[in-house]
Amino acid sequence: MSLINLLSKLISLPSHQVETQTGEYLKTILSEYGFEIITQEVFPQRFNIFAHKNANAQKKAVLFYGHLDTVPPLHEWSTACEPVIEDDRVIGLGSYDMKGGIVAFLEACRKTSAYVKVFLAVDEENISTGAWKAVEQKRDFFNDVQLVISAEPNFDLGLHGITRGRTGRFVFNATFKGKAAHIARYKNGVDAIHMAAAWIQKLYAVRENLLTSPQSVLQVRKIQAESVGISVSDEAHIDIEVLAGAGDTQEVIQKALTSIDESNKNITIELKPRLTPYLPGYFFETFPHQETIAHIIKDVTNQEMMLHQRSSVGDDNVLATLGIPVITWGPDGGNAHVTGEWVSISSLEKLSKMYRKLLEEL
Amino acid sequence: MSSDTFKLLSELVAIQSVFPKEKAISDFVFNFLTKIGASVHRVQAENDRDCIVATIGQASKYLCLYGHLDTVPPAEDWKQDPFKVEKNDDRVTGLGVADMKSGIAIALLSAKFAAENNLPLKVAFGVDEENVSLGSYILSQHEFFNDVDFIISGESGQIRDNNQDFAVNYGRKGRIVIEVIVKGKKAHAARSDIAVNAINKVAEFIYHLETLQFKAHQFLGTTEIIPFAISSQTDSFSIPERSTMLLNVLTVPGITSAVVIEQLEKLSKKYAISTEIRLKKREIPYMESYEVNRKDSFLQKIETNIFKRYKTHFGYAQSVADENRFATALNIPVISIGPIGGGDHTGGEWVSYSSLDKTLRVYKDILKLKQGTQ
Repeated sequence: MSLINLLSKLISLPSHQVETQTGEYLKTILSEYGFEIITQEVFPQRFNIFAHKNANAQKKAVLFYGHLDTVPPLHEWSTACEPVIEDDRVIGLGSYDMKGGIVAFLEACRKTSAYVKVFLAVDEENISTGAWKAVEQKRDFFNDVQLVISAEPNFDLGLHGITRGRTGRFVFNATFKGKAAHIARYKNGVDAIHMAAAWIQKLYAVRENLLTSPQSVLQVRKIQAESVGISVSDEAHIDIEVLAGAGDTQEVIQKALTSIDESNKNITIELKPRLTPYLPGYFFETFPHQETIAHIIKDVTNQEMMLHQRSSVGDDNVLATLGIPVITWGPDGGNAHVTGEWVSISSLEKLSKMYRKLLEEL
Repeated sequence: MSSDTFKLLSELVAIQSVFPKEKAISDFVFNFLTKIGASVHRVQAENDRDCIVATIGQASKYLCLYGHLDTVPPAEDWKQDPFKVEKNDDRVTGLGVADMKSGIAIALLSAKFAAENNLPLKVAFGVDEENVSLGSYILSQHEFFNDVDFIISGESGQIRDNNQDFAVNYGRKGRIVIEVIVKGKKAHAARSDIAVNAINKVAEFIYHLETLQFKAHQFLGTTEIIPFAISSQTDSFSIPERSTMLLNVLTVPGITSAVVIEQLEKLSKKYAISTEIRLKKREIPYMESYEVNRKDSFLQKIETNIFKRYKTHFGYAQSVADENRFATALNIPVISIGPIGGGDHTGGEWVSYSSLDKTLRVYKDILKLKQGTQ
């Protein structure tokens, strides 16, 4: 099956609620391509896929990583799972993030004789339950891996851009305690919604310089408040998401957020509990086959390899906790997480070619 | 001495009528009015929830007295049986004495007085005022009000001056709920450079709300906008694209929901905040604010011939009531005249014993005055 046909097929299999169909289909493709497969149930009907081919006890494998899930389509995009090909673009939900990347490495692996592994995870767009479960319970699978190549979107870094480090991510919850009052006597109350809004304004006024690392980014990702009856709201909650660069630890961030309005004792800020650990940041100074990859990039794209650190997180962070170098080397495209998501066909072809060349060099 | 008003009030308080269970009091009022010879009808709001309307005598235009039959549930801080009135000196306590069973008692006794003296009068009693005013909504669509040219409600409207003989109320704030959807621009959370965070934008909008200035009303003050619900959340690792906020808006006469929406839209335009702004849908329409026309000839006659003889002065109420509905939907002059009282919706709800009969006397005088103007 051609690269474009395979990508179109994957887009047509919705994977924003459960990844079952996509997983089952890719199991078939991996088998066809000569991989041996095991799966790991993460949730009912949602499973990770571990695959390898050409196992060689004398060698270490290169592992390609992809996630099976996508974000849900925005409400107006009713045709999200109907792929459209326009000029150099394949448009459809998950084309860029990251079914395109998966297709690129599968194509590269199809005829390879190199020892290669593939790890496909569920739940990346949520809380990385798949990746965490894999590193916690299937550690053996990764023992002989020398390099993880994640085919996640390159987000305008180009095919020559290699990400070798990412920020970590935390979510903090801020609670604003006001005082309820009937709205006819609202001046007797303290409106928690106003308090939260004012705090958000202050945060956005200073957010560029609030944290120490230039890689650190923060945003408010959730707000919730509702008064009981016809009253002034006595409580409001917001979630602040922080992509944390080096040095911006949980404690540093908490202190910085508290400093926004230290005098107000009715604001409580704490790390929001979640089911899986927050993603720690990582950075690999060097990685295996760095020079080879640089040559391949130069050959195929006619550009010098550029190394980056990104202000974003993904399963790459989870895999990096294994201590194995992780690089992100993915296709060109656009509109990730929004309507009209697309991936460049020529970039997929070039990327696949580069992956193949790397496997040939191993 | 135990006045007729007090006796009737005691009976009414003993009839539990916490909304939506107004059936027993509806039946009582129906029977009372039937017994005095009025032409009485039930106007069904819902199953077992009847409003009552009655006509006494013949006229081309009627004065109509109004009361709502329901009460709020008894508050937890009642130290007496809330359904049994107690009298201590001048203070009568019990659930609904001020809000508004005294008003019902006075309207019923006024109806009896009208029947005995051949004075034309209409009376109407609604259900559900303490909830979403379903009763007044149903009544406002009824032909009963076609020949009514003045309405007096027996609710005091939280007039605080206890030294008055009775409370007079000329207008009320309105309350509407407006839904504001603030739109951002979604992107992957790593691309905050190309995205617009809808939560930051809604916070900005709330901040700018305070700069809105509406024309103040001489007695009711300004229109107030108070956010009471807000929500937004990203569905994944993205920048939020949409926030929804509900605003409680307390309006004053002249500031309609359309005016408020127009001002909010101007505000979003001024600060380049992308929004959708609309009145939040509700089955029963919201209550817009109102005030009686002070130049209404009958009102002027009441002021000159009756109010002048008493210690009273008019006020305005900060909360909504069925009066808002009648004034705005029917475009009929509405005032409230009620006995002095207070503690509405609390365990200490009270009404002044001496004010009860003074208020009834005023009603009787108004009935006679109305007859004189026919």
